[in-house]
Amino acid sequence: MLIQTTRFGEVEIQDQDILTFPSGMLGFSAERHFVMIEDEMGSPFHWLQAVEKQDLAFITLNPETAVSDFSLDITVDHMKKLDTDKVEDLSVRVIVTMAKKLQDVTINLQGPLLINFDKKLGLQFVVADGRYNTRHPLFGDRLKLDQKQQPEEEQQQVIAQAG
Amino acid sequence: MLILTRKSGESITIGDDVKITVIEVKGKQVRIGIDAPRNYIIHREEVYIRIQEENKRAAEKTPVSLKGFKGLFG
Repeated sequence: MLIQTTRFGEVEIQDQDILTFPSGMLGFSAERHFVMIEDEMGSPFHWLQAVEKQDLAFITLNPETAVSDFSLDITVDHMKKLDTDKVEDLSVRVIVTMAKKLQDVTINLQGPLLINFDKKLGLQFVVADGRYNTRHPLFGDRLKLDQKQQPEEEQQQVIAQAG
Repeated sequence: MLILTRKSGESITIGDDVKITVIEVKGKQVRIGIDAPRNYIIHREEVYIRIQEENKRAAEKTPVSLKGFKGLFG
């Protein structure tokens, strides 16, 4: 099917490309369906585009690209919601808040996205203890993000291409 | 909003499966215990609000393209 997007124009997606967030994202509970769109420049960022709201898109990043030792206390309930009993089935992404100045670009480590790409299910995780915050500087001391070779598994998770 | 007065050790039940108990009242702080099924997501409100606000901020600040950010990587 074709979806309309503000940023990418008309994008052709398949039903199996659609990720469902049954509870939406905090503050955006009405939007349940998203597609991941690879950034056209081959950057480590992926767009998370709402299927039914053309101007809603988030920029997401694998947190491992930015921080080391990112850990979450995932419970059985989270896994049930994502229809798996294996934590290895889950991928973590964080939402990037862009800014004009690089040093002001932040990632939300307190509300990461947990996604089961096989089952096409996602949720926004809430880190309740104080270990992470919502505005972690993406670049910290270094102002460039190493463009790492994406592992093969990651490439398979890129499920929709900008038109 | 329904407002009830409770003493330390007293509870409120919501439906069949949620019980909220006032554990301790100390000055301006109240310790509250919650018994609820595991599928209920319970968090301090401010944590939720912080993430909600950051989601909205992120959505607003999402640029049209990352072209201007090419210097970030590669």
